[in-house]
Order: sequence, then structure tokens, then C-alpha cells
Amino acid sequence: VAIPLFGPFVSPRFGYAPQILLVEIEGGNVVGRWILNTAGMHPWQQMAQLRSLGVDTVICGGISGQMLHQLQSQGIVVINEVGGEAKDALRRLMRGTLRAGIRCRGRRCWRGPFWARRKR
Amino acid sequence: MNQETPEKRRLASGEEASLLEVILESIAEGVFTIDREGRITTFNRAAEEITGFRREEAIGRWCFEVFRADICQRDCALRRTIETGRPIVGLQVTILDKQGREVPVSITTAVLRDARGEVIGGVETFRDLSLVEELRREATARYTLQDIVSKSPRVQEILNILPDVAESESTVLITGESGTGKELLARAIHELSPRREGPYVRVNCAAIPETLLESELFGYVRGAFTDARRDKPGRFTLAQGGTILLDEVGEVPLGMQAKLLRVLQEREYEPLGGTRTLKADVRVIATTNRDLTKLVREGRFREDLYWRLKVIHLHLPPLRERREDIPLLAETFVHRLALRTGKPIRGLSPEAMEVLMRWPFPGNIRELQNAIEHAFILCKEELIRPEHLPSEMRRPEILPTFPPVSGLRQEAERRLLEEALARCEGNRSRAAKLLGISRTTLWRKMRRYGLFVSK
Repeated sequence: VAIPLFGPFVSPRFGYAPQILLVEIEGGNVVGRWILNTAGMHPWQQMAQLRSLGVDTVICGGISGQMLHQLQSQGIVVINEVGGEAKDALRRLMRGTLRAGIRCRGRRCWRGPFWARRKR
Repeated sequence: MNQETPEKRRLASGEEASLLEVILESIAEGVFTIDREGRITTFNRAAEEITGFRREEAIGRWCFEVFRADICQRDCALRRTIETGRPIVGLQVTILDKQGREVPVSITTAVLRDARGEVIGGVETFRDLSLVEELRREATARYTLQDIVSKSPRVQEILNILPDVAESESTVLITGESGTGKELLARAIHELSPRREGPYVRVNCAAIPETLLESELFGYVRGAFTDARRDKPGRFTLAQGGTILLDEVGEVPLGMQAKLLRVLQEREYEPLGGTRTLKADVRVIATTNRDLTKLVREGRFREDLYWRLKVIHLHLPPLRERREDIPLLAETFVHRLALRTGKPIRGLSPEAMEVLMRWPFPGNIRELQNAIEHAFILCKEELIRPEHLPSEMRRPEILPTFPPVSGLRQEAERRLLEEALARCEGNRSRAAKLLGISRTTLWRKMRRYGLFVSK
């Protein structure tokens, strides 16, 4: 799983994050974590690198339609429009509850705009 | 009597606030403000239009989650302004709108202070540059990687290997019919390559008369011929440190091919009339719509040059073989033309799309673009209808097109050969045995289909 990072957060735009968190999951457990340095790398080179590393899921805050097609054509699942901290997104992914458009802060996750969180 | 009471002050400030709100809502520039933490506190109507996010979706969220600019994660302009107190004016960036479209904008930032002069946040105004960008693209014919629009698996396959191709220094041969986007691909390779900061020089070999081609490519020195009053650098010199595109390389005359071969082989050349040998630090990309193997067989193209050019071979399929791209491309052209002409056309009616899907498009993407432009002139509604499209496309006798049977057979044969070679990891003897043909026949067929393993 690859999560482009913006500090502790999921990067708001794929292709422009200076670092990508790579997580290897096996049998529902994290078996490895690495940070890929992508500063100065063209978004397309980042895509090529993820493909060559065998990434099969990308979690990001936003992605251009063209890059989305490109990743999907390589068989990579893209979970888009995910907000909040990367560790929370990863936790939800492992539980099987991460969906596009979800935002997490701590243990609280919600879909849709900011005010939707307050209504719950 | 004119004494200012707190009540009067409150009313006056309330009026001022509502006046400001009216002004903010009426301007064409997007405006948003953030607090010191970077959360959006104001988001005007134009900001909604440009980003695609509704105000209630945006307010309270971090600006980077909504704006998603290319600079957000590297050098946020607004953060810099808040930290330094210095405004930034007219910085060009691209943002990602809610639909995932990249929108070029020009941004201006300023710091927000309260009555005591304390910094309470920042304000950013932004202007949609899509039209300006479209006109620039049209005027300069400079298209980028972002302009490649395709869902076709065959094109996706090319795009997948493009970063690796670009990274290498190898010569690339791009083939495909006219209007399939060969030049776009060449530029994309340059853009992704380590030479991207260097020049990108395009030479249309078909457009330069045979007698001038040598001096155009390699330049000349003073006194080389009667009118040569000063040295003139050739395209290879101009492309030094960058990339040269030899467009329509199939049209290069035989005599010139030998000189081109020398540049590719030895990376050096001499200007016309010169005695000094110059080094060519240039990456060469060549394109052609001709069948070079056929030209080689006919003796009109040097075989050694062909192999020198074809280190990496990319073939762009014609539009009729990637029909799934027609709606996507049509939509892109409608969007661009609506922007450029200001006409409120939203798209194509299902009937008009059906007409396009049936047409064989011998002129490929360029022909589709022209058809949409034609429709834009005639269309006075929101949707393009069949009657707005060029008349030849609307002829009822046009049937869905299929590739000729001989073409199908060849395609099947080519795929079979590819499969056998892949299974045998490129071992020709084993592949020939698997196919039940002799090695010589395999060799001949590989050569016909251009299946030699490229570097």
C-alpha cells in the first residue's frame, strides 16, 4: 500500500508529495514500513516507481483523472479523496472500512464536508 | 449631535460587513481566507465555481485539502505570506478541482490582521487561467503530457513505459498514422527525461527542401556558399543538451540519411563548409507515418539507419482501433472550445456521439478535433446534434468499420509470434519449435512485424 504523505496527513494531491509511505500488509498485519523519497520526482516517474515496487493500493486526497486512469490500467486500486492522518487511513484500510471520500481525525471518521462531522 | 454611539458603530460595522460580502460575491476572482491554523474561514462564489467545492464543503477544512495546488506541499504561498508578512502577486500554479481536473490559476496572497495589527490569518485571491492557457497552447502548439487523453489499453501500455523510456538516452522511433499524436508523445518523452531543462527542437524533415536539409540540420559556416555571410547554427547545435525531434523521418532523402546515420553512430557532425567536427550531445526522437520496413525493402531508406533509429519503438494505434477514446477526446475538445469561444455548449447528444462512433476517422484525432470545431460554428444549442457535424459523417450508408480481413490475419499472426517469443523468453529456436515453423521463417516473420527485441 502506498500513501503519499503531507507531514502526518494523507497528501491532498497524488504526484506532488515529497514522501510516500509504503506499507506491506500480510494476513491483516503490517509486516514492513518504508518511506520513499519522491522530492523532485515527476508524478509519472512516481507512478512508474510504485508499479515497479509492486504496489497494489494507493490512498490519496486527490488525483488527476489522467493519473487515475493510468494507475487503474496497471491494476492498482486507488482510494481517492481520503483526508486526515495517514495512520488513521491505514487503520481503516486494514479493518476494511476505508472508502473514497472518508476523512479521519483520531478515532472519528466521517464522510463528506466538515459540518457533517459536527452533526454526528 | 453627531456623537457615535456603540449602537451606531455596531450598525455601521454590520452594514460594512454585508457590503463586503456583496462585493466578494460579485467579483469574478476566487477569494478565500484562512485562520492561523490554515483552515478556511471564507469562500466566495467564484471560488466555488473554479474549485467545484461548495462553500459548506470548504469552510472549516484545511486549505490544502480543498485547493490541492501543486505548491501546497512544497512551498505554500499563503503560509509564506503569513510567516513573512509579504504578499505574493500573480504566482501561476495548478489546482485540482473536485472532478479531478487540473486547473491553471494565478494566485495572489496577503496577510490578514485584526484591529490591533495582530496576524489572524491570510487571504488568497485566484483567477482561472484555463482560457489563457488554452490560447497559449493553441498559439504555440505546445502540448504537454497532460494533453494525452486515452483509456485505450494499447496507449496505456505505452504511457506505462514512458518514464523508463524517457529516463534512458536511447533513440526512439515513434510510428503511427497522421494525427495520432506522435509529436505529443515525443514532447512527453522530453518533458520526463533528464534533459527536460534543455531545448526541445523539432525539425519537420518533409517540409524542408532536400537542398536545404543539410544546412538546416547541421548549420553552415561563413563562406560555405555565396550567401553565407555569417555562421549559422544548425538544429543539432540548437538542440545541444536537449532533444531533437526528426518529424517525418521517412521523408529524409537517401543522400542525407548517411549523414544522419553518422550523427547517430558517432555523435558528431560538421557544419556545411566547416572543417571542425562538433559533438552532438542530443537525444534523438524520430517520428514517421510511413512503413519504414517497406521503404527499406524498396531501397528508399537505409537499413542501417532504420536499426539505429529503432532502438526503442513506440507505435500509436489509429483512432479507429481505439474507439473507446472517442467520447473522452470529444468531451475534451468540447471543453476546450467552449472555453475558447465562450459558447455555452456542454457536450454531444447521444445521436451525435453515435455518428462519431461509426465514423472510421482516417484523419484520426486531428479529424475528430476538426469535426467538433465545425460543430461549434453551427451549434446554437447546449448540445451538439448530428446536423452540426460535417455532412460526410452523417451519410446513412456508413456502416461500422472493421479492419480488413488481411489486416486481422496479420494482427493475429503478430500476436501469436509475440506470445511464443514471450513464452520462450526470446529464444528463437524454441519459439520456432513451439510454432512448428523453421527458424528462418520465424526470423522472416519477426522482421516483417518488427518484433526484434528493442533495448
